[in-house]
Amino acid sequence: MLNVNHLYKSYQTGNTTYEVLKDVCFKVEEGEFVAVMGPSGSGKTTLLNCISCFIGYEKGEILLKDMDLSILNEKNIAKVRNEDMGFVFQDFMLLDGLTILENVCIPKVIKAEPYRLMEEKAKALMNMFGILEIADKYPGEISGGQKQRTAVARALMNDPLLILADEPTGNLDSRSSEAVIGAFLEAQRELNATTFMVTHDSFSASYCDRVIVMKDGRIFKELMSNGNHRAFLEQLLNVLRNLNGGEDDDNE
Amino acid sequence: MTMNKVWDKLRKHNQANYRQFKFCISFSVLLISSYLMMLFSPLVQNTLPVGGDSRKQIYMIFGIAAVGCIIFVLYTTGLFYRYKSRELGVFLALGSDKGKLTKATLVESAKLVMGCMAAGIVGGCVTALIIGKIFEMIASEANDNKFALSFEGLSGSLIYGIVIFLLVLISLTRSLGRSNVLEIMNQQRKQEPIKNMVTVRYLALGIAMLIIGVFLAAILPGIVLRATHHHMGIWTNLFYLLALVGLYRIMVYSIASHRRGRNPQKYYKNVISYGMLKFQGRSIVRNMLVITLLVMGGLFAFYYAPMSYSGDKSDFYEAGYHYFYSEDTDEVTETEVREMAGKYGVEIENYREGEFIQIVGDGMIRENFDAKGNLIEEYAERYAAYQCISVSEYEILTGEKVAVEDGTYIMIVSSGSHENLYNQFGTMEKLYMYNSGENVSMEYTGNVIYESLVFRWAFDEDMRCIISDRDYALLKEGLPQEQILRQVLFDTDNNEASLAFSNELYREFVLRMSDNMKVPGAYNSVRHEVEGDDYGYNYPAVYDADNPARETDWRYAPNFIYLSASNGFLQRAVFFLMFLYVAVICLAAVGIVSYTRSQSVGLGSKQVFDDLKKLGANNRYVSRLLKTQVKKVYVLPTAIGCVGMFAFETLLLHQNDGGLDAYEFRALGISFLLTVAVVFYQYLIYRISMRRVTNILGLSA
Repeated sequence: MLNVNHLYKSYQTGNTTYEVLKDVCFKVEEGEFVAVMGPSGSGKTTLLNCISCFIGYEKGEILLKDMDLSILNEKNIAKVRNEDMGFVFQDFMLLDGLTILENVCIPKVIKAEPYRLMEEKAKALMNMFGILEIADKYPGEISGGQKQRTAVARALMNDPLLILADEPTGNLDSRSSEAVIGAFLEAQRELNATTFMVTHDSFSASYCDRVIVMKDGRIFKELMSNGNHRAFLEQLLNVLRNLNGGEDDDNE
Repeated sequence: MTMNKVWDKLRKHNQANYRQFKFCISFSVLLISSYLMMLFSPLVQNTLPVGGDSRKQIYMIFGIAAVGCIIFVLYTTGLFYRYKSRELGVFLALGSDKGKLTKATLVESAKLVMGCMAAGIVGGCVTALIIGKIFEMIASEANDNKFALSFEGLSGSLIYGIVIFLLVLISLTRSLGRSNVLEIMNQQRKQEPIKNMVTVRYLALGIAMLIIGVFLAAILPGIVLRATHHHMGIWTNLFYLLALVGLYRIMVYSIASHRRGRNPQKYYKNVISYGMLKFQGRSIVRNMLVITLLVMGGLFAFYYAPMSYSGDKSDFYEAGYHYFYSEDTDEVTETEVREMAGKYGVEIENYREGEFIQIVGDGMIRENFDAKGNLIEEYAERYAAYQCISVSEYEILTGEKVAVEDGTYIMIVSSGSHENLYNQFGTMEKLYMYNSGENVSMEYTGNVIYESLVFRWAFDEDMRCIISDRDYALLKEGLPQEQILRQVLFDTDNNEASLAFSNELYREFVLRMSDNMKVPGAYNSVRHEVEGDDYGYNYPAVYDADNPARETDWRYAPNFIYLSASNGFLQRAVFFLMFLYVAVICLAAVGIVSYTRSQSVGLGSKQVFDDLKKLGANNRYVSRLLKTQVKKVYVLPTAIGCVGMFAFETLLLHQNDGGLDAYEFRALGISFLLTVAVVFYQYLIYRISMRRVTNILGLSA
């Protein structure tokens, strides 16, 4: 589904060049739930931004279902973001003036799709994530977990090839985080959704099929889950401990 | 690094916000200050008649502009505080003393506003001085008054500045008084949602309040006055406040009420825009209201010129030259007129003369109201010396035949003559014979329209009427020469030299008139006789033989259309220019308020636009959204302002006399064109605002 090949990205500050991504290569298969972890500055958010086409890169290629995103113009990038990608952000990015139902509908509103099917789909997703009863409420009137589940439902509105999630549980307590991760898993199970998630939260990452650990702009390690969530969490914590030279870090 | 240095650095960093704040406050004070300087200058004060309509209108528009500017200043202050709040919140979160922080912010703001006040007042004085001197130059031919800055103007400006100063500080103190650090930090992102979902009932009530308010303030007093002759008083203007509340509700509804309704597809097409607007809430509505009021004020001032020209009948006159004089005067004869015209190469056409007699008759005095507001109608046995013409003489003058029975009369009126509370047809019922003092009963039977023979307002002491030849002969018996009037009507061949000829004829006419012709326009010899020394119009006529442009107050003022066309503007130049100035001030304020608001709407929506781009909206989609947001600032306020003011002006004209005449239709036509110009002006500002905000948001590609 997603192919990242030999990706390089750097930032220029004055005369100094900072290499943020160095020869990053990986694949994400259809229906897979993949997390990217790593300490601050390891390049995980930059990687997500490159895949999202929010920023460009110097070398390498990113293929989304064999489509090279770097050659697209503004109009086509917008189309890909709308139809082939779904986004979930740490700060939810819901529109305060719209109800929850209307917020979920936004990707299809942008696409100017017929309202009947749009509403049916939105309600089905909201039902799946347990937020149907708050359909007429406004973002200011619901909890953080509900907001993020709204964002997940919104991300799935156009049946995207890939959901990109940037710290989706970063602003949530553990209970809400579980509910949000539950929503991603539900989407994977029911809709065969492919999710690529950047996170600091080991507990959330432990629900994924695979975790890519990054360090200094490179892939440090890839861990596969065998389906045992507890064991995978232990394994993950060990790797992160090693990554920090035996110290626990904020990834827990 | 001290706190002061930190403040300085932050100020430099936020220069744009400071600049906007300073500009808006200074501009508001400048506008009002220059307005007051103009208004209280001797040029305007000595020109606008005390208690006259024009003076009242100028004050009324000033009220609108002042309130509009105050609301705008409060909005700007709110905007400024939003920028400042995040910094303040961070300082508070890091342990700064709130009292010290509040004090430092207030002192900084106080210094800023005082600087703006000073700049605004100085700018206002300079602007008024420049414009005032230009007015003085333009009007100098017809107006001796000089422009000067006055103590009243300066005090008014200072008072306005102090009001602004206090309002800004009170507003800031209230905002800073919040105890919650997070609330202060989040102020920058805080929206002002319209909390309660507004319903159709809310809108219906708004429309009802608007209609009822206008009805009670503008229509009802007229109806009551006509029906009961009772003047309700100026308190009825308070009902305009009800109309204002209604207008506010209509605007709130336009922003806040969008439902899925019967056309869900359309609803969803615009749902993002609706949501964004709803969350800008009350502040956008307040801005829209200010823009509406200022558009209305500007248009009202613009309409002054066409409305005052609605009384100009020069296009409708049957004769280009018409004047009269008493027979005891050695006035310019036909031969002399022709000789004088010949000198200029001007040809006299269709010269005719006719005779009127001035006969005392009864009438009704309707001028004052009693303490309860009821019109006092007092019958006067000897009311005025009416100007009467015989049927035959009228035919000689006009070529028109009219039938008048003995003992009856027909009034000569203009097409714009309508009855109203004060002016009614046929109030004269008897005329007195000069010799015997016996009266002849006269019955009013109708009107005839002949513009060039209409004397002043055509009613009451200005009435001219046609009577039968027999009555005319009877009433003329023994009449002294000064009571016999010679009416002259003629045209010229529209030669370029007609103006020079008119000037000389005017001069000659003035120099040769008798002393009894040197009376003011409203002079009524009979009332003078009855009231004696108490009579108010017993003062010399105002005219200038060498300068026909000078505005006259003179009962025998001749009417030469070449002079009216040439001098009409000059005579009322100060009025026109003052109203034009007021209109320009209001429209400048409209431009600034609209522009500022549309910038903050655009920039305030940046985060939402960025989010939408991440969700797949392309630049075109976002530009469309931006356009909808910015349009909201312009379209509804301009539409309501323009349609409302035009309708109001039509209503006022209609209220004058219960109908619209040809002159008034012409005035409305010109007013309509001016309204279109204002719409175009708003469109221009909209385009400029859009271009600017599109560039800032990087959507121009």
